[in-house]
Amino acid sequence: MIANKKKVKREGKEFPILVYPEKCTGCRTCQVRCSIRYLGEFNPFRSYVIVARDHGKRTTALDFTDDCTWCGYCARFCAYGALVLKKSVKSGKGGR
Amino acid sequence: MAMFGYAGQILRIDLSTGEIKKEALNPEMANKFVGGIGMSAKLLYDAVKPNTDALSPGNALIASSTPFSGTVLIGANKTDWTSKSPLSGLAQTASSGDFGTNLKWAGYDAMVITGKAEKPVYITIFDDEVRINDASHLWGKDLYEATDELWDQYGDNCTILCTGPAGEKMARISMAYTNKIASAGRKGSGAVPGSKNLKAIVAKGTKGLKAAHTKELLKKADEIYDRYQQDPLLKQWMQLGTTIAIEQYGKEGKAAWKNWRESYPVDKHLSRFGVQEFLKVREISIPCMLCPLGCKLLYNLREGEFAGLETLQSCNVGAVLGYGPKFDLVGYNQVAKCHDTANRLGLDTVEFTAALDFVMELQERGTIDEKVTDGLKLERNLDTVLTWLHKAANREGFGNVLADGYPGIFAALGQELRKDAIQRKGGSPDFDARGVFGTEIFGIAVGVTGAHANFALGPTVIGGREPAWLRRYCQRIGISEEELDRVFSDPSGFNVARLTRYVERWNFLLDIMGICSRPPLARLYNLELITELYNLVTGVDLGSAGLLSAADRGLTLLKLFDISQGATREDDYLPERWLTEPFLVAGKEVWLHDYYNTKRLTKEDIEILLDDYYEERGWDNDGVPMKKTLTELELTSL
Repeated sequence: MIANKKKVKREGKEFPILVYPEKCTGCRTCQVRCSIRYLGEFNPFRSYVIVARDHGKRTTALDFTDDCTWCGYCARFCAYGALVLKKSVKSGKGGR
Repeated sequence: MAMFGYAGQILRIDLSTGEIKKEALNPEMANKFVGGIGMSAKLLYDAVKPNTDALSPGNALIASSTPFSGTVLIGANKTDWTSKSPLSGLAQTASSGDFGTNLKWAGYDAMVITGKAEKPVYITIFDDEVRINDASHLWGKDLYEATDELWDQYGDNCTILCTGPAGEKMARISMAYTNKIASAGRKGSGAVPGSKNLKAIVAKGTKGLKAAHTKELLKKADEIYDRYQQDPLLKQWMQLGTTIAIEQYGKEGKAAWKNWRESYPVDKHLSRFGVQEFLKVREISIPCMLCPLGCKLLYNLREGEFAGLETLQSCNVGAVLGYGPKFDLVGYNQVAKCHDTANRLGLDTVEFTAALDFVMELQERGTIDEKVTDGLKLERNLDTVLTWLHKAANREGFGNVLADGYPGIFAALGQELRKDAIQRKGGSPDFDARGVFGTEIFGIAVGVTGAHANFALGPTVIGGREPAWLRRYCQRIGISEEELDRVFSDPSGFNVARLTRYVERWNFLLDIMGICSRPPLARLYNLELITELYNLVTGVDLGSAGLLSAADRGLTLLKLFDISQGATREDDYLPERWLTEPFLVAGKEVWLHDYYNTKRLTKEDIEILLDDYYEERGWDNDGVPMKKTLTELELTSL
């Protein structure tokens, strides 16, 4: 797990996502979910989630833009356990 | 006027002239053919003239996205690849991979490539910028190397279709792959780009797209996702992919060897290819874009033979059954080596292994001697497979014959061998009919895209399902009560020919929408839901009847295409040996019988079933769609 960059609380919230880039498959579901929710279009290139896949090394770097609202919506749809909602871990439902 | 759910353009590239045209998508065409294979059928019929040589500039390589591609509807992101098949001489299609998503985000619902470049080229599609580029540095490279080189050059967010050395040499059993893992189809999909001097197509789209009713669509998409997570087999599917079926197939005698004469011994099958053995080589899931299932996978041979090899696999069960039992390989390490070799060379595992298996039988029974096969005795082992993979891809010696699959063998060794080969329309079936005779078997006979009966795959692939259970399934896929009565009035329980007609319609509709056939994804959708989702994405209400008509229209148009290329009723039969020879399962003879095993089936029975199928489709006894049917489907202008 990488250390989350955003230590400060945003709008009184703690950053709600645990990030495990080593589990990311680069499917980009998080990006498309984010872009349709905040920008009204299906477009990973306008997402607040950054997914940088390296096919050769089979690694992915995950990050969030400064516009990210920390809503955690993207993590709800991560099927591979790369983005996990902290509250789902506390409730025992998170992490595949 | 903006069209929701569609990019609004069709991209046409003529490699002979270098002309690149962007044509506005006609809304009427979108409403009639919708997307995926429906749209591809129309584009193919219009682009390829009757009796065109599949390896000539007159053939077309078509990719179509769908209205659902690139949205958040899970499992609905497939691309349809279509052309005239160099192997069957008829239409070939594959719903595979996520190329169409990037194509659509770049601004194109479909792409039609015709002609032939003077020198090797590759195409790049980056939004409005479409270019034909020199590929002399890529030509001759294996499929993995060439794809990696293009990723290095253009970035990892691109989707790349690439053909291998076998495709460059126009092997009729070659295959092109998207992102090194998702095949563009059986029956020579690698030879079509190869014949056009086209090594690869690179696509990346940054334009995105919008839906007509976003809020309502997201609500529905969330409901679908929640249902998906409740699937009791989900964790197994995510871990095993199609390998989930490997042990069941072995136990049911579906793992054939000795050219479909016997089932592979169950104890050997389980000890060599069982799930526990598989888990020793499985590394990670590889999904298509936007897919939560990740049924494709990465092999990592951590120890033993070929230790250190990492390779990609899409339909693992197909590769294992192709190489493992057929050639008596000793386990997954050897299967992985064969598959890696075939993928890099760009050869189709199923067609290659079927052709080699057939030639082995010819040698075993003395029809041909070792002189024919370059002085080599064909033995069922790893060395033989690897030797002939390379020979076929390079068209070396008898490999030149194998490279063209069954049609190549018949041309070289005699057309009378047709009756001895387990093939239809030049291609190999996936299943043996003498086990369970369901729609997927009858589809081998009548399938408009050949023996790989993907459109006829339905619930009867598993034996013993009660008529009441099947009837409930039929209601979910939109079969009317009147149609159901015809299907289930048969004294044997149901009429497999009539049921095939409706299973094909359903699978065509899934393909039109880009919905994946993997069960955890496909079973999330029913006709009512698809109708509602189409409305929410596009803002157009075609109704359930309109969508079913679009599916029938697409399939019928492919049938008309096949007829224009010379297909007749004679092409719509099962391999003769299935009717005249038993299959040995654990030493016991199993003959061709109906689904509930109430009687043995004869050639006359198949003839009657064929008449039933044509009648249910509104085709005449020669398999030609009748004028009334064409009128109902608004195809009379063709």
